[in-house]
Amino acid sequence: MNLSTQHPPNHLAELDDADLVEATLRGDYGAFEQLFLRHSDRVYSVAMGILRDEAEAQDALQETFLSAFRKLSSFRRESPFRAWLLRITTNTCLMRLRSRRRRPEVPLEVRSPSFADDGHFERAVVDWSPLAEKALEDHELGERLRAAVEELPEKYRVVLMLADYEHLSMQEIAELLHLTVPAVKTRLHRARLGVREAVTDYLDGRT
Amino acid sequence: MSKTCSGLSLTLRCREISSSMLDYLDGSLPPEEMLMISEHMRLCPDCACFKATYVATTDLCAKAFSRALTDTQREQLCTKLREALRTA
Repeated sequence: MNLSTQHPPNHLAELDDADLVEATLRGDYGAFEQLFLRHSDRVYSVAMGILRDEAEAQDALQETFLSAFRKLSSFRRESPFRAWLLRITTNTCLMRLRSRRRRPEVPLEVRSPSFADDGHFERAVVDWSPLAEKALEDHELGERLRAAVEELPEKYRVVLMLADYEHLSMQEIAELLHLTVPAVKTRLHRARLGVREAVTDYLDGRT
Repeated sequence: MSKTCSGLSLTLRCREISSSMLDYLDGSLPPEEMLMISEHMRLCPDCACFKATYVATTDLCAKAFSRALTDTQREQLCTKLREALRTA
């Protein structure tokens, strides 16, 4: 494949992903660059969600696009490029997690609401949801939220990211991670409860 | 709080509502159970608030994961990628 070294012409930005893939396969490197520019933030977000390290996430981003380039001829136009790329990203990041010496995870019990013996909530539940959107403008909440997510055990955090950021279905997540759907649901629910508790602690005093 | 539905008497407690919330929002519970949970939340302010905050949490999580490269980072990575592809 002859690779041009020019920056992508403007018209490439108007092409959809499948057309950019085809253009790349015909030898237009600018088309692949356009795919990179279009999807790099999202791939980076997923990589950060799994790896929790900027430098590693950027390496994984690089590796993902290289891998995608090599496998480009296997991409099927019928399915979204983004989903195909997500699969490569997730596998790349999970392999990195397995191979590196892991940052030790504090074996925290993921927090969840407390219930009395009669099954009712131990304390009154405050609805902070009307505040949530506006509260995100608060830098401190944003930091606490990120910390709560990053502190989740890897198995919960990855499922949470795939469900609530990438909006994959339970079935899609199960296939991607080689889990059963019930296992995905359990992990997702626990992850959400853990993050909810952290946000509740922060916002509770403000309602 | 107990309810009778289709001849069966079921007691739904807040703990059970909490543990079923994902499936409830997913719509993947049997219709009778969906109805009973909805009815429970109509009458139980704690569970209604729990549902609202649970849903809000999923939106917040989406924002927590969102990251963006700086322009400099993106350009540097693009350059590195370009060089790597020459030898790919």
